[in-house]
Amino acid sequence: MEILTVKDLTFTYPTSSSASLKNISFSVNEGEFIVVCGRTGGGKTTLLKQLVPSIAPLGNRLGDIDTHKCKIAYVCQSPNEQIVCDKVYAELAFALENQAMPRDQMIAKIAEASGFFGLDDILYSDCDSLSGGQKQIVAIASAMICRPDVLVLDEPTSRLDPIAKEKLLSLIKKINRELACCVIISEHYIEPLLEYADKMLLLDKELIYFGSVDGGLKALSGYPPLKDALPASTRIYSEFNIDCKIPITVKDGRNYIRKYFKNDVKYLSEDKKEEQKESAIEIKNVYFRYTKNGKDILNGAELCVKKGQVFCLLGGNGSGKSTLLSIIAGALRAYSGEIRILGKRLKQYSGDLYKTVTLLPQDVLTVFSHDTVRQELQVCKNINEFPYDFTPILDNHPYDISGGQAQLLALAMATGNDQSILLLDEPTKGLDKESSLSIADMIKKLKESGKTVLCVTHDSEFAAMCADRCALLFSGECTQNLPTAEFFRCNTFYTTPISIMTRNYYENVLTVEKCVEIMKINGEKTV
Amino acid sequence: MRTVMQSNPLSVFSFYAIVVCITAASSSPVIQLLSLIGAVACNFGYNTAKKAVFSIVLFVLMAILNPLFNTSGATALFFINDFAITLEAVLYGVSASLSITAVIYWFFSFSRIMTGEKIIYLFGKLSPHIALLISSVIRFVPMFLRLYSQSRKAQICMGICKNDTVINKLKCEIRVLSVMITRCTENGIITADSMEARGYGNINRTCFSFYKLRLYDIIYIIIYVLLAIVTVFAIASGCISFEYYPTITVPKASPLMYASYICWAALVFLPTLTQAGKEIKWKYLLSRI
Repeated sequence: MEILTVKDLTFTYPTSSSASLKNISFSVNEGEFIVVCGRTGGGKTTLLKQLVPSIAPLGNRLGDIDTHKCKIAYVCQSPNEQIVCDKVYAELAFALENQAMPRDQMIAKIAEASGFFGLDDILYSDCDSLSGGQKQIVAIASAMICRPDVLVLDEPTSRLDPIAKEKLLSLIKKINRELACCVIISEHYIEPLLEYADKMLLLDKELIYFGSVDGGLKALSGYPPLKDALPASTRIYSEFNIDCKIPITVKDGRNYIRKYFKNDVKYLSEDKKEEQKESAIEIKNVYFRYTKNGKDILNGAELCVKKGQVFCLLGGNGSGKSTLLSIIAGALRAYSGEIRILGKRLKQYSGDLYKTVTLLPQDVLTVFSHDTVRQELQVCKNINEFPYDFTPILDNHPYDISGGQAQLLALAMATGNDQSILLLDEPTKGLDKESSLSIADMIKKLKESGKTVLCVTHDSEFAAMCADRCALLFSGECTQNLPTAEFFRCNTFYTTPISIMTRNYYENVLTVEKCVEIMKINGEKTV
Repeated sequence: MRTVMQSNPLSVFSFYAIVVCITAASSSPVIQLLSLIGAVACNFGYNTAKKAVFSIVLFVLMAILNPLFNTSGATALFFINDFAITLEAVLYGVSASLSITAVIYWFFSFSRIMTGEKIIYLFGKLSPHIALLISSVIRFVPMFLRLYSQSRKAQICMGICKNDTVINKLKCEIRVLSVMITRCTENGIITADSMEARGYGNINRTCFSFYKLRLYDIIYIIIYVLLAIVTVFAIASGCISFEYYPTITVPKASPLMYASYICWAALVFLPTLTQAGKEIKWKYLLSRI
């Protein structure tokens, strides 16, 4: 039965001259699971908000949205901002309080939700003390507590780390599977959803596709701006014309390569690069803890980044990656150990460290203080040297540009004083694939202009694309300090999907581009 | 039976309101001293030494201050530059300090026991909207401070702000403030959306709490009121009030005076007695396991 019908929807924001949504028509049935894909700025959020009558943005709206009187709940991507109350149980009760429900019924509902979402242990905690993943679970639980017919989720995992992402997505699947609640979700990281979803909706201001997942994957691979959002195996599939079941998971991809392609040529010839001898950042035996009696966050960490190198430091949540960057940037002080920047000890810099080292924070919105991009760029001495053209967005508000552009803008501001050493804290967090690629590109360009980059990240595909050397930070120590290709070959879990797919078949193949290249050289198997 | 401090916030609050008001209104050092001992007993085991040092210093300071500014009273003890220090003024100062120290001690335990959620529950009885406001403010303050330090660190580590001279530091603070204003406004929109998506705006809002007003909570409140009435009646009738100026007049012994002392003592020691009762009961229960 249809529970949501959108007919010829066209929507224009009051301040905008062009329509954000054009002629969108589709309908949703009871209990369906729908994945919404689209570029940043393609109107995903606008469409999803239009579906929820109480928060539909104001503007010029043509066409019809018929919600058939069903209840619609909405959860957005910001874990911190969408929580209203101080305690978890108060947050769960919020929607019920608004309905003026009697206390006994409220307790019963909270008990149920707490059980289903596994919140019993944190029910009396302060919302503020929770991790990002837990906050999102609380947000979903407090939206689900009124028993909605449709749950609308706008990029719910984009601010989370990979493990929390996985956990949240499986919870969302559980909501659909066990409560038969219709789910409409927009997401960058679609791989775990594709096998489960009923339908896909592709959006780029206009409706590009609405229908089954298989058709959606075909439509995606034929639409260049969105192609990068596909899982690695599907991207490889889309490069060749082989008629078979579309591979989605790593396992599918591995079987696909082995079944259809030869492996006479095992590896691509690579030009050996001479490694610089001079080191830019040198860390020896660094120990750090936040409180006197706390545990050591850094436990004798050792690291050496050569001049002109791009170094990626990977590691789990809370492994001290960001702490290490703060120490190098002089914002925190290690209680023991030696840190040298360009051969000079950190202590000898006394106040002019910012001329050499610059740290880009994880949350780049904490940097912008002006109304336009133009004003923000005034802190840079010579913006023309920065390898990105900001001209089209110069008069936009820094909060209105896309996440990727904001990251690039902050990067331009950070390198504004010709600092030679760049520290990046998770530059691809919350970005879609297209933007991640443009950041990786930018890092390569900055490297060519002689900068040294130390980057902390969760994103192994990103590291494989731009790093010269990688290391893993674990239990306060840097381990596996190896050149990128070797690093990902040696690792079992911290590696790229392509590396797993091609393991024991090709060698040193980490990225989709390289994989497609070697597959083309080898050629298809003749049956 | 639960202790006074474990009972419903409404009954806890009425206990504090009654005790603090009577302590502050009474001029009888007996009432004040009993109140102080009761309050100290309530705080026993929580930073005892630190609070003791603080309150003794405060007590002595206040007791000294009164005779230095007040020359009323007939019995001069000694003179400083023709300025009389009188016995009555000294004793009045001691009595006033007793009362203030007792009130401070009651507030020590009040702030420990009345946590944010209990205060929200109380306001929820008055107006659910105010309760929601308090709840979101409690959440907002630490968030604001964290955002402030994050954004300050970001500006300094990127070399946009310089942390050297006073002027540069001031410029930095202004820049950070500007970031905060934009950011908080932006966040406010998201929060507002999240609230409206969950049906906020209904006038008949209620306020949820795990606390429930049970029979013993009401019995507690009735006990407080009965005990307080006797004391208040004694104070109002003047039969326990001390006169300090010009000479000290001690109230005459009367049945009402003794009754009010006993009732007051029962009231201020009730939290400690119920607590002690609970401890003994647990000891007994554990010994039987």
